[in-house]
Amino acid sequence: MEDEAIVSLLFSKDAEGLDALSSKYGALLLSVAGHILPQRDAEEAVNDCYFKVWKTIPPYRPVYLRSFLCKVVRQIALDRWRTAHRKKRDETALADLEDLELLAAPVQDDAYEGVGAAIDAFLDGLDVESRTLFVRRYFLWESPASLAQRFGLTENHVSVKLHRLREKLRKYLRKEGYAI
Amino acid sequence: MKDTSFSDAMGQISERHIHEALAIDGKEALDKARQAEQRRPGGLLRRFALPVAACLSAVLAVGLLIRMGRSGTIDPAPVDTEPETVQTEPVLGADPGENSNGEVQIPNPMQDLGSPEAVGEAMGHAFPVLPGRTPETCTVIQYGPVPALGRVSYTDGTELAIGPAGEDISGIYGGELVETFPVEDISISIFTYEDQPYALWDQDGFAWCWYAAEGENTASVEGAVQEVVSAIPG
Repeated sequence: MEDEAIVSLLFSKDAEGLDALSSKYGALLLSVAGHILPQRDAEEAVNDCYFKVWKTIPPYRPVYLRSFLCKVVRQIALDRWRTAHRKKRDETALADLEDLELLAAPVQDDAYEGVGAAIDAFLDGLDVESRTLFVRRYFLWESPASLAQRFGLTENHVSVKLHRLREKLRKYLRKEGYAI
Repeated sequence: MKDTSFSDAMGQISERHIHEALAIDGKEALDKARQAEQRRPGGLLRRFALPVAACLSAVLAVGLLIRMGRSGTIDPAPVDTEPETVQTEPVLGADPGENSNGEVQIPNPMQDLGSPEAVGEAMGHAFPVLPGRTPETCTVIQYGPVPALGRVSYTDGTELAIGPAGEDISGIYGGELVETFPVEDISISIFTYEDQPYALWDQDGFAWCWYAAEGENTASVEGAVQEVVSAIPG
């Protein structure tokens, strides 16, 4: 079923929309959540995702349904992971983010969205390979080994490239006024 | 001051970036995306601007050294004399080479062809005549044996481009898809970039892009695209 048809079903509160969503994107969502949580928790996160989507559409009508679903399930999985690791406060275990775990956004009240928008602008300035590697690594949590296999690159090439991109992002954000 | 974790900030990136990363799921898709990126006019500019600038600098430097070598100093510019050489028009798609005077010729990838008919002829598909719109500039971009893009700008600020089918020929990266609608069984996609709408579609074996004039909205683009689709000779 086409995404537009699924969104229309969800818009009219037809439960068939959820079935279609599950059969078309269930495996993808499980994979995104599974990069963050153990299998059983990941399955629960995917179910929570369906519930949230059911509540969000309408009024929201996503342009890119698949991306929207990934965003929702990722946030749910991340929140669950944090709840489970509340005492540690150390996200380096989640991914090798080096010194990028905390971005301090001064002044603005909407600093949270501001950093996201700044990263968007940074991504716009990258070539397509860098952008894809960066988003797959830091949004979808795909491992460097998996990225290397997927794109026919060496793991070392991917790691070096990601390291350079992190450095570039750090410089970019500093230039934009964010303290890291 | 408010601390935001990097992972939370990444969760706020645009869905178009996620969409792109999900769509590029293997080596083949990545190669295709790279090629499409290089074919975009913006990509071309990035790809060619530095090498061309470097070549020009080298040519100028060599010329300067030769002049200094002959006289021990830089000759003053000639006054009231005929130019030493006559620049010949570079041939579309020609390799850089020397003209009859031994000067290095670097063909400009962007060529003004003078009329929509000439653009159509260069691209291999007749370019439509749009009633009520007067062509202002008619260009093609060519960096290989075949022109990559043809573009006609009209005096009212609108533009129509033609390129290889299946490609995003807009030259705009980061446009947001607003809607998709059919015109004569052709699927038209309307995008906006910084509130400026444009439309992309494939028709008759080519990709077409309509750029709205400044201040136009998506509704006026829809009307214009219907006019253009009907005018494109099938």
